[in-house]
Amino acid sequence: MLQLDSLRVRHGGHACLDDVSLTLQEAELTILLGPNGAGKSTLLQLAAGLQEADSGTVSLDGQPLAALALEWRALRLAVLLQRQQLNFAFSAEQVVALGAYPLQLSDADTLKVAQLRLAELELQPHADQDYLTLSGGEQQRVQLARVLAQCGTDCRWLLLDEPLAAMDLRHQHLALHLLRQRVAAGVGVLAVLHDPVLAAQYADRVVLLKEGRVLADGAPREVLDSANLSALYGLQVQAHWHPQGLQLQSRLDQAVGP
Amino acid sequence: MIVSPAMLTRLLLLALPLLALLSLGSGVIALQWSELWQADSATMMVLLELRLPRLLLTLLGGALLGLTGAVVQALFRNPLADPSLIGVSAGAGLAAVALLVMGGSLLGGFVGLLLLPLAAFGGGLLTTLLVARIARTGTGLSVTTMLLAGIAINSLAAAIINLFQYLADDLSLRQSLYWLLGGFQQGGWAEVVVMLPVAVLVIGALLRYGQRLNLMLLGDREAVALGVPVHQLRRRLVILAALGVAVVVSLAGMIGFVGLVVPHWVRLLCGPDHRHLLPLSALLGALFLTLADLMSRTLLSPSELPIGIVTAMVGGPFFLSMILYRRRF
Repeated sequence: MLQLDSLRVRHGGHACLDDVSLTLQEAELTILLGPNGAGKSTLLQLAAGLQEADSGTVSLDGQPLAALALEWRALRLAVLLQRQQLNFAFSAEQVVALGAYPLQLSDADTLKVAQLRLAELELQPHADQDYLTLSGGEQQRVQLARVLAQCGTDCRWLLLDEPLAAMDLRHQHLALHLLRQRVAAGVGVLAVLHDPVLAAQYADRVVLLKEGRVLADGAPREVLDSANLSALYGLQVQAHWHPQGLQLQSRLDQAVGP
Repeated sequence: MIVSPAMLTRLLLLALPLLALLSLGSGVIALQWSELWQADSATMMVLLELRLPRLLLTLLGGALLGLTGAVVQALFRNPLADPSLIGVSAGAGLAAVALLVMGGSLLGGFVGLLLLPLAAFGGGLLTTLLVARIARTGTGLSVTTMLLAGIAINSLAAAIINLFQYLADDLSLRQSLYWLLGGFQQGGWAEVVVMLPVAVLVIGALLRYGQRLNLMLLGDREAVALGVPVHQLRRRLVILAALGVAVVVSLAGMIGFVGLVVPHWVRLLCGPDHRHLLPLSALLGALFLTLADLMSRTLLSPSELPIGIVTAMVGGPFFLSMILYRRRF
């Protein structure tokens, strides 16, 4: 259980997160939706223990996250952040292999893990290619493969900030399918996404975050309705639930916004 | 990858002793090999008292510069970074020039001989601590601030060095110019005794950080998420790199370009995996600086060309051609 309790973060006089509490369960895919600047990345970094809150606590199975050793945390909690800054010419395979570092495997086993994760994301043709020459979507798949490589047998949590960024539709579905596999194996996943339709299709639970507060939280069918989505994005949204899933129509409303 | 790391290691380990022999055998004084083993032979004296310590200094100094260059580039996550960016050379240069210009009378005798390198060493370390202090944030050292602070401190130090030289008399001006250009002409066993333990400590420590430097290249937060205590590590690496550069600068003056180009050459040949890059940069640095020293002694023989000029003259065009033909780091 990953428990976020009354988190507050202020940045330059402006509240990024304003009293947010969430209890995340293992074996559940939770998707975090919200407009730009709503505090999604801040929330995810707090959950990963990579940032400190001004007040409030994050605890993993009852223990404060900040008190746990980094190596121990890295075994149980794998994190993908936005804006990767790698600018040295590693091969795709080398980048993915770096993800397996916390597992302390032999070189041969590390290579095996890297090749498996590359294959899962359909990256074998690019294994030896210079990471810097890959397209944006391919780089993102490499980074996701790296984080999945970190998530070994002891892994309980995957925290992913926009894991689908720049991916084409096929690979968005492939990535979410891989996340569902991890959930089926008992891993808890928290992912920031921008597509309510994909969230409706894959999530067990959806959290809507607006201006640093939780607007709604629950099963996709309860949360993703016209009123909530319109309020969330400041947009005219018509949400229709069909037996196959969610269908959305949206347009800018002149009455909304400045 | 053009050659495998193992192959390049073998090539360098083969080339180093050959170059070392060549370096021992070349110089202003022509050696009479036939009288090598005679009692009190001049050949043996030249070899043992002049060329061997100098060879050891260039090997150790080159290894330190190449290795710290690779480490600093990884620390800054920027392949164009240079050890001078942490302020160590500027501080050492400033301290040395200040002492030469203002305290010339202190420099006589045995104490004076030690005073100059000591001042340079202290100045280098102090300046690095200042840069690190400026770059300190709540959680650790900020890379961007450190880069900017390094650039600012470097130009400030250069301005003060210029001021000192402008105010200096002819003799101390010449001495400080000479010192700044760098060289191993003063190199004897005393210098080896000073450099060897520092080199062993710094090289031995830095070589253990290869994989963690790879992880730090992914980004600070990414590395923390992979279990690497980034901020603690960065502090330690800055101190080790500063120690390594300071000992070279204080004994041999400012030698540019080695720390910049050597890691580049290795990355170009073997890729950026720091588990190989660090030891190979040390080996190639040793080779490059020994070669540069050999050239500095022989090109204008019997007079000597300052080694800083040689490294820049060789390194500069190589670096340019790399930028022009590969455009990749």
